Amino acid sequence: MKKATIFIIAAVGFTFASCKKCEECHYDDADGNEAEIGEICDEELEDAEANGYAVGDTTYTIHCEEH
Amino acid sequence: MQHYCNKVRSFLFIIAILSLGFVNAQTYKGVVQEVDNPKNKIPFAKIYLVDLETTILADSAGYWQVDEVPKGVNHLIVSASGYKTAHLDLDFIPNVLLEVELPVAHHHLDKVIISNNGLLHRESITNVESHQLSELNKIPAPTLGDALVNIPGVYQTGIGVGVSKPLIRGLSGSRVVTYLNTLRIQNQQWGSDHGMSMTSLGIGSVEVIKGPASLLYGADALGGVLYFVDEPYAEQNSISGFVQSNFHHNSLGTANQAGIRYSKNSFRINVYGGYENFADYETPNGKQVLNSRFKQSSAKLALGFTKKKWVFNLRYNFYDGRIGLPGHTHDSVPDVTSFLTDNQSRKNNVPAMKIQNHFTSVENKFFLGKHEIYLTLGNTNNLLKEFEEKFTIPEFVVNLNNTLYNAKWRVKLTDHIDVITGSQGMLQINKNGEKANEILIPDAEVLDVGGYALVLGEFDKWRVQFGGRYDNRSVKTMVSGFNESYQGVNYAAGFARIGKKSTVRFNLSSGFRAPTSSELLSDGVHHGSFRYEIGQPGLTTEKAIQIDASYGIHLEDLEIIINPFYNRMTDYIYIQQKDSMINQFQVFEYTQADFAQLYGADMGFHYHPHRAHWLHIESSFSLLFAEDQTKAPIPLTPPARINSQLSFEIHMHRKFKLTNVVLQHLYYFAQNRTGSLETSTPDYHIIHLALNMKVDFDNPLFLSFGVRNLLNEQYIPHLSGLKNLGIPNPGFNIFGSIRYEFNRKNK
Repeated sequence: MKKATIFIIAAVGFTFASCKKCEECHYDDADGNEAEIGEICDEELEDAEANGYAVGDTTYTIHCEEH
Repeated sequence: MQHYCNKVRSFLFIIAILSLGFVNAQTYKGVVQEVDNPKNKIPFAKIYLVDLETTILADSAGYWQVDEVPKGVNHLIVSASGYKTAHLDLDFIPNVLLEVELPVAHHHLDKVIISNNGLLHRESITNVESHQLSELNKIPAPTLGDALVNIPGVYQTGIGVGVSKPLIRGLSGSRVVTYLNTLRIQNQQWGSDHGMSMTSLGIGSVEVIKGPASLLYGADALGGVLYFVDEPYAEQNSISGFVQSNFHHNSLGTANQAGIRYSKNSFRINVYGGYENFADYETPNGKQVLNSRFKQSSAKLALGFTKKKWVFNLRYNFYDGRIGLPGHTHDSVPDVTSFLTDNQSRKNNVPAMKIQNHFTSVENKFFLGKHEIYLTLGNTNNLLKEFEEKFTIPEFVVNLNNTLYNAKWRVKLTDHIDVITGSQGMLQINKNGEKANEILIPDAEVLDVGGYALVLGEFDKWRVQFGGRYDNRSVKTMVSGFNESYQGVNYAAGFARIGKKSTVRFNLSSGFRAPTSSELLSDGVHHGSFRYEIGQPGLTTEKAIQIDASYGIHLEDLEIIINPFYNRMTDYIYIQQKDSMINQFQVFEYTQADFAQLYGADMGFHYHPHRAHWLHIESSFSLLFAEDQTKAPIPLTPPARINSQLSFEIHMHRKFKLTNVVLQHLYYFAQNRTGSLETSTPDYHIIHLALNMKVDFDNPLFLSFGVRNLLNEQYIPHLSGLKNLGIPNPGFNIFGSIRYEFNRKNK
């Protein structure tokens, strides 16, 4: 019974635990070349997709989809 | 005051009648025996009381007993190993031993193609295809949609493996009404990329009505009705369950399910959970279709109890899925290689759809002698998010909330005549999400109310039916001030002669469909289909009248059916490609043709030869023509199809046994009757093979192995959403399935 309870708690905990959401992203620079950014996660990813990714004074639109 | 007093009296009278019913129910006893030799009692026969959704098991001497049953006629399905299954209406008389007789099955057709015994058959004179899901999955299919195409006249359209929409006699989307038990499902089905968003979890059988069926199922049932029925509850006072896992090598796909069913006296509960995860699928040339991956979780709960004359069920279904949308590229001059990859992946990608469904229903059935009352209250909630370029910000978010009722009163006027009256209504609220970048359909409310009456007569071998219905649909938007009402008057009439060796049916039925809010009010990019869609506020209701006839022969070892039909539609609504672009998307606009006609036939046979009891040969042929008022073909008409299946049933007397080998051949004819901007499709053959095995322990283990698309045929279905991009369907696919079951009596 004790084992079953532990198993159920672990399963429920695992099911509802939030996973880190990260993506490999890039942007197209001024010359039209792909510039890799690397992995961006969670709020940073959401912010970069909503407001663009700042490199110096320039803000770029990022692309994270797999090609 | 007098009026108020009368209402209270009526209420008390109904309560009194119900209470009488509760008090009067008692124990009934029966026996199951052979027809030709009643002295031979049949042990462990299974008796299923259809209306009460209760299964009881006869004892080792063939005797059974049941308590919570109302006096009067009850519909039973009685089955036992080695005997033919019987469907019968049995009059439950107190203090009388109820005798049920079954004939020995010398060489029975274990799967009939002409069924008179589905749930819907009690109320429909037309042909109803009734199939156990396990029959359709004799060769395990990756998705529910793939299993449904084994039904004659049913096809699927969609995008890759993850998105599957059923077509019934060439019609789909808003023209096909889907029911899950008594609950009507709404899930933005107007979109070609919006699939069924359901899995096979806990589904026991499916019944299909082909053609207009608005009389009983309301507005929109122009193309037909798909009616999914949950698995029954566990046998009375028992607990049963299963764990199942399927694997498909082509897309490295796994589908895992588990379920438990418990029944104690009048209480019963079923609980299920499932998870499916498929990576990109592989085409016959060894390339993977980028972003054809999908994953979906589902859960199901059914909780019920029977109190003498009252059956109560609470059902809840949950679905959460992320479906990749293949066919997307940034290449300036794309060709088919732009959509293919060498790296098979199951990682989240975009574009994709994220769908979440909550379906809840409360069913009540009352059995009061000659009267039966059914009342379902339900709610369906469908949240759809479409992601285009960004992972965290959806382009399109829409929530469709639908609250509905379904009430029915059935009364037995005489021994031969029943009358059914009922009413259905629903309030749909379509609301765009605040986070969405774009709006395709404005926030809108749709209110449907309809009422019907139906007379059913049964005279010896003859059955007749006629009835009428009135519906009203109101559509109003929250912002633009659009407010319109649409009315529909429908009817159905028909007769059937159901003999032992032949069945004749003739049915005339009408249907109507008020335009959907998407057809009326769309104005934006539909990212799932990569197009800009424009609605037409001036659209009127679409109407259809179908003549459906069928002739079936059912002998001991051979069954044949021929089912021609003619469906004439007026004010047919369709979406037409325009010669313009908005925001780099091709523009499509909804429009209406004066007239369209769909006609054809479904034919089939099932042969189980006397001299080879181990062999079953089945074949069906589906043929459909669809054209507009100028006799020009309508786009997306499915090609003719021959679906043949050879099944070798093997009876082995050992623990580990091969139960059957199934070989299926599908031949899709070329489709050269195409719409003006549509290309033709060549013919193709597909072969599937499965070996089904059983390890016969007390708790059995079922194993299945085989191959789908054995010849690695490269083909693109005419109805595929990826056809114009040249992306083929999956190639050679090895599958495996394992299922463990247990069943034991409660102490």
